[in-house]
Amino acid sequence: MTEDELSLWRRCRKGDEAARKELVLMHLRPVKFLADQIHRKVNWVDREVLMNEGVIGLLKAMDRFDYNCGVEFSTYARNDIRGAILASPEVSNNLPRRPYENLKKIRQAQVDLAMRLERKPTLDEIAEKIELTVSQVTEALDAWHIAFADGFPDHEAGSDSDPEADERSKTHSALIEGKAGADEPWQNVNDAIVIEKALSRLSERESLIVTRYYWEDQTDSEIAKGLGLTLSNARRIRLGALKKLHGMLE
Amino acid sequence: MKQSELEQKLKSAKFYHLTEDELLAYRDRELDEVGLSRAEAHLKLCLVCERGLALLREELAALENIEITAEDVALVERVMQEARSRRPVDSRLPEASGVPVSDRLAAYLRQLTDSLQAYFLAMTPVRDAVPPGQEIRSQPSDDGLVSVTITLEDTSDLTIHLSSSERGFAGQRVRVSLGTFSGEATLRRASEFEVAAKITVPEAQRPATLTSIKIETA
Repeated sequence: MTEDELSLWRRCRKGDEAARKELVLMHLRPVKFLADQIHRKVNWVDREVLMNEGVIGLLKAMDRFDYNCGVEFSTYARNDIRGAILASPEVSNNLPRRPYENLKKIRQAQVDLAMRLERKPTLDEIAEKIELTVSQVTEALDAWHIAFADGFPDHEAGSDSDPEADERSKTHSALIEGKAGADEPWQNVNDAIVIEKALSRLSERESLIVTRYYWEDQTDSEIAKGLGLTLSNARRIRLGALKKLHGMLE
Repeated sequence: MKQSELEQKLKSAKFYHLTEDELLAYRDRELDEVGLSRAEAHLKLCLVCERGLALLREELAALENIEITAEDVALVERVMQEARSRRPVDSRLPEASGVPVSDRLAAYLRQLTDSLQAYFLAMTPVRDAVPPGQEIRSQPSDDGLVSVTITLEDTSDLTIHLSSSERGFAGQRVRVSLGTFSGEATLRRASEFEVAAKITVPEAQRPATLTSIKIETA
């Protein structure tokens, strides 16, 4: 944050309405962008209504923002702006269902194709599988990111709850359902954060070896070669790191 | 946790979809080494998140070309005027406007601490009150925005789970003091609609009564 903006925030907190207005105008571009983006999906709603709601969302975010917290306000305000626009009755009562229904098909197709092809499928491959055009697939994905960029609201039963399902099926379901191998909602949602945090507490070499092994699917031998280590040393470091992680995550 | 379970957890982490904040941080090259590694591993697998990233990149480029017009300024003035006329004039807790997030959270935590202490003063010792594995107390703030749930786990540890629908509290640190125990945690987004933090008081440090419990910002 620049010194000028910081000064505006300080004045705004003291009740200076001119500073508040200046801050609103400074951060109005994302509101216009989101209002236009959503307007393209619900073009029968007056664009000014969307702008109006977006500015209300921006003002709410400003009221809650702590300018000392080290987060950019533009990042902080995104969900409030989008949420305010989408929550307006003109929008929420009239959102088309088709892109959302298509998205469910896309997600399933991604799982099926990834399993069969053993790689990420392309847009063309997904479109062909679910008998939509590429532009319909893109439209569904875009609608999804515009409306629900921060999470998947539906929690359908996935194959990862089936004890008979094999390992690959579990992980690919997780790719779509966003809930791999967790026991309860609390752990489920925070797993990635907790694991990233624990990994950050390992030494640089340890976290590099762990992420290469578990996320980049390298073998101990490939890791050893890449880092100039002996095979036994790479394996020893990985297992030592696992032991440390075990202690942290317990 | 067995080693195989830990390994499964590690493997699974790359399949979790990236949040919009993570995609933004990836786009802006602000992820640390571990976050970057997970993001890249996931983006190699997921068309949905890849498209989300592409949209965020398009947005960044589009923002530069958006102009603020006189009509925009007039709309902002009108909305601000309406918002001013709707602001609450009285509240037991600090109004959102003009009060730093940490101060608002501190006020809620004081209210929760007072309520919990009053409740536990009138209660028999925890050890005799509930069997392990059960909730001891769930206490919401007066307006329901923040709540705390205290559970006696099967392990006989005590967990204190703080949650709020106020997403602006994400990133705030909270401290729980109880007898000789003191622990801290960060409120993190638990879902699209909730932030939460969990602190565990080990059995060895758990006092017989919870009257000394104090929850505050750290």
